[in-house]
Amino acid sequence: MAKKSSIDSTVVLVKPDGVKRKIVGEIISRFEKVGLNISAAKLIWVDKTLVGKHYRDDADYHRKVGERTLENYQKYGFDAKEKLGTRDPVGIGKLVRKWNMEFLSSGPVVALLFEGSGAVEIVRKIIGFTYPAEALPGTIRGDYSSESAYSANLEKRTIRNLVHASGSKEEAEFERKLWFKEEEIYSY
Amino acid sequence: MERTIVLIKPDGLQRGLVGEIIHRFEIKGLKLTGIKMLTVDDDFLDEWYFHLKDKDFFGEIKNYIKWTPIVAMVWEGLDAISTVRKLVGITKSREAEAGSIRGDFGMSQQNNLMHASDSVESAERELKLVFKKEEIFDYKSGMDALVYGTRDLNG
Repeated sequence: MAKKSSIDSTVVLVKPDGVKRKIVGEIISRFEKVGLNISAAKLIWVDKTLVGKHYRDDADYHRKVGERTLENYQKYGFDAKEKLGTRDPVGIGKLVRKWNMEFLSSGPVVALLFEGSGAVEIVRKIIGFTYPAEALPGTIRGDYSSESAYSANLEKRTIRNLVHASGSKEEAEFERKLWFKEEEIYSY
Repeated sequence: MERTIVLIKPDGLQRGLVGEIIHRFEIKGLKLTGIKMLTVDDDFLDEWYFHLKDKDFFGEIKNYIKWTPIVAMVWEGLDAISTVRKLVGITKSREAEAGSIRGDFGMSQQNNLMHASDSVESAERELKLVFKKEEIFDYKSGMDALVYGTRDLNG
């Protein structure tokens, strides 16, 4: 039962909407049923410093997020300048980061580390597409939420999409260290 | 609101029943205010099971709980202690009522999946043994107003 840093592990956060809606158990079950092992679990209410590291402050990243938001605004016929005061993708990306940070620190989250072969990709597949309204049935977001970018954009807030999961092995490694101390991670 | 401590023991964790067990308490309307994973040692178990210390099966119990990590949780609600005990079912899993967690998932008295506090005193004692103050969270949820009526909350 030695503690070790695992080869394939991924961080899953059940966000405040999942905790408050009492669907933590169903979300964890999905990952258990596919055969992943829980190697860390805790309830945690994080401050702005930690969420600030989780949603990194990086111009390239802001631009990517901003461009995606602008695409959505165009799709729904919203004027970014009128709604957000700017059409600059980096500026919009920063704003989305602020919304994300506010949401993730708005209540307790269940932070989990899942271990298994190909854990990162498998978990991403199970949680489904970022916007729940477009996520396929059978995925967590597709089954438990109907949130669309439209409603979020209209209310100038982030998408409430129940779960976060690491997007790559590098991100998983970074987030594992950010969310867990070594002594909170178990191998069995 | 009352608080109770639940442990998911090594058989529950390894059988992949963590989510299912949490789900049972969530759909009942209880609120999860703390969860953590931990491994326990002999000293911890001597204290936790002080009333079983002289039993001949105490060694076996210790080995069973030390097998893998366990998942500890704090559940909150009106009469949370007795409510959780009812949902968990009696220790002899084979005889536990259908619909209870042990009744639905267990065949053994020994490997009985979980532990739940049996009184206010044990809940307080167990809470202190496992959780630090800063690991337990109070939070509001829109569900609160649906789970309880005004009369529940006012007296």
